[in-house]
Amino acid sequence: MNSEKLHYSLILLALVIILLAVALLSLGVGAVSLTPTETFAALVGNPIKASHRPIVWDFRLARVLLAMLCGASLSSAGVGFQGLFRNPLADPYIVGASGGAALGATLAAIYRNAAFSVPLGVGAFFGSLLAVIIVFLIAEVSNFGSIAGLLLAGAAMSSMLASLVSLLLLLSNEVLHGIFFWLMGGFSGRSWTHLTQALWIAPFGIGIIWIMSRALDALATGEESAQALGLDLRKARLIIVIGASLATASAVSVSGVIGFVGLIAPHLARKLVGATHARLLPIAMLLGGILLVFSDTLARTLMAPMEMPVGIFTALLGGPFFLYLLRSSGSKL
Amino acid sequence: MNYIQAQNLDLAYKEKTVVQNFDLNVNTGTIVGLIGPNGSGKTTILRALAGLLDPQRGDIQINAKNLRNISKRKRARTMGWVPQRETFAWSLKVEDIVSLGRAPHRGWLLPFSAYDYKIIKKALKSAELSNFSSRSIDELSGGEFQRVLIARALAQEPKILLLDEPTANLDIHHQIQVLDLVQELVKKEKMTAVIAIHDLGLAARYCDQLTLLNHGKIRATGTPEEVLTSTNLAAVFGVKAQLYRDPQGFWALSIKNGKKI
Repeated sequence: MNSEKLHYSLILLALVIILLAVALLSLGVGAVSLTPTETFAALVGNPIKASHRPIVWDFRLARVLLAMLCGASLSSAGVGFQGLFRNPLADPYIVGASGGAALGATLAAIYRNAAFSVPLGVGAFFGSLLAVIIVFLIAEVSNFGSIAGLLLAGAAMSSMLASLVSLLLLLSNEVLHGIFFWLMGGFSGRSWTHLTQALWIAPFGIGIIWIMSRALDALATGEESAQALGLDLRKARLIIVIGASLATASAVSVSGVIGFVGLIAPHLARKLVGATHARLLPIAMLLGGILLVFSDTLARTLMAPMEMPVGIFTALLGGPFFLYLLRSSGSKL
Repeated sequence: MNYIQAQNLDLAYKEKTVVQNFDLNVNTGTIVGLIGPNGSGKTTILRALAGLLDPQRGDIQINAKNLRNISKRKRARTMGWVPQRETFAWSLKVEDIVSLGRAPHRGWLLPFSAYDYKIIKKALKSAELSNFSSRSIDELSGGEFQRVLIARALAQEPKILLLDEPTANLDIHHQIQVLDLVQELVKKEKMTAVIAIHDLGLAARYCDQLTLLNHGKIRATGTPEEVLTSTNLAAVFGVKAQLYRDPQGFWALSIKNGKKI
C-alpha cells in the first residue's frame, strides 16, 4: 500500500470513528440522559436498565440514522451539483433543488386521495429535477459569469418555489400543520417509517453520483475537454441531475429543507482528500453525516425541552461559510 | 490516401462565420501547422477537427469516414485534443487528469486495468511528468500544465494529435521538448499532428506542411518554403521577413519591423 492510499484510509477510518462517536453521544442525550456505556449496552441488546432499550431503539436510533442518511444524501447531491455547475457554491439549497423538492412533496401531500396518491419522495424528486433544469438553463444562457448567473437564477427560483409552497398551504382547506413543521427542516418526531421512506430513494441517488465520478472528473477539467474525451455532455449532465435530485429528494421528503450541508461537507472533503470524485464522495458523505447528527443533537438539547429545527443550525454554520467561499471565488464572478 | 481530409469547410459560432472555404489534406506521419494572426480561425479549425464544432458547410473525413458518423467514443480513441488552456473547476492530481485519457477505451464506469495504468505511466514519462504524478495541478507552472494536457492526449493512444498553441506558455527549452516529442511520435508511431502555432520559426522547423490563414480564409498552403514567402508574410502579418536555412540546416526566419514596408 503506498503512502497516498494509507493517508486516504486513515482519514476514512478517522471519520467513521468520529461518526460513530457522535452518533453514540447523540443517542445518549435527551429527556433521559444515558452515558455512552449505557447507550452502547442498550444498543447491542444488553441494556443496563430495561427502560433504556426502548429509549434508544424506539425513540432515538431511527432519528440518528436518518440524520446520517440525510447528511450523506445532501452531501452527495452537493458533490453532484458542484460538479455539474463546476462551481463550489452549488449546494442543493442554492441551486433550487431543495425548494423544488419541497414544492413537489407539498403537492404530493395536498393532492392525494383514496384513488390517487404519489409518494412524497417521488413528488420531491420531480420537483427537484424540474427546478434544477430550469436554473441550469437560465444560468447557462445568462450573460453573467457562471457563478453570478447560477446564484441569481438559483435565488430567484428558490424564492419563487418557497412562495408557491406558502400559497399552496394557504389555499388548501386542510390544516397542514404537519407539512409546515416538516418544511422548517428537522428530524423532530422522525421514526423508522421515515428512515425506510428515505432508504427507498437515497441509494439510487448516491449510487448514480458514484458511478458518474469519472465523468465528473472529466467535467472538472473543462466541458470541451470532457467532450473531446468522448463524454456525451448532455447525457452525462442529465444523469448527474437525476442522481443529485434523487439524493436531494430522499432527504427533503423526510426532513424538509436543510441548507448548506451539501456545501460544507464537499468543500471540507476536497480539502482533506483532493477533488477526484471517487475519493471525494465517501469522505463528503461521512462529513455530511457527522455534521447533521451533530447539528441535530444541538437542535434538540440547546433549548430543551423545546426543539429547534436543525436547518437553523446548518444555516448558522453554512451562511458564513458560504460568504467565505463567495469571497474567495470573487475573482471568478 | 489522405488520413484527414476536409473540403470546403465553413465554420461558424452562432451566426458569425469564422472560417470560410477551408480545405485540408493530411497524410499519416506528417505534422501540419496552422499559422496566421490572432483571430484568423486556427483554434476554430482545431475544434471542428476534434468534433467539438459542427461545420456549417462541408465535411471532415477521418480515414475516409465522415467525422459526423464516428461515435464520440471512437472519435476520442482516434484523436487527442490539447486545448491551449482550460479552466479547471478544481485542482485535480496530475495522474488523475492523465488517466482520464483512458476513458475513451475503458469507458466511464469500469475501473482501469493494468494495461491502462501502463499506458498512463508511459504518457506521464513521455511528457516528462513522472515525478509530478501525485502533484496537484495548481502547484504546476504553465509549461508543466501544458504537458499534463499533452500527456492526457497521449493516454488516449490517438492516431491524430490536435494541438492548440502547445508552446504558447512554454520557455524555449520546453517548446523544443514538446515539439520534439510530437515529432518523434508522429514519425515513429505513424501518427498525424495538426498544430495551431504562432511561432513561425518553430512552425517552419517542425511542420511538414503549413496552412497560412488570414481572416478565416486560406492564404497559402504547402511546404514551409512555399508558404512562408516574404510576400505572404508581408501581406498577412505586415512584417518584412525572410525564410532561410540556419547553419544546422533548420528553417529559421529573420524578421524586421514591418512599418517600413
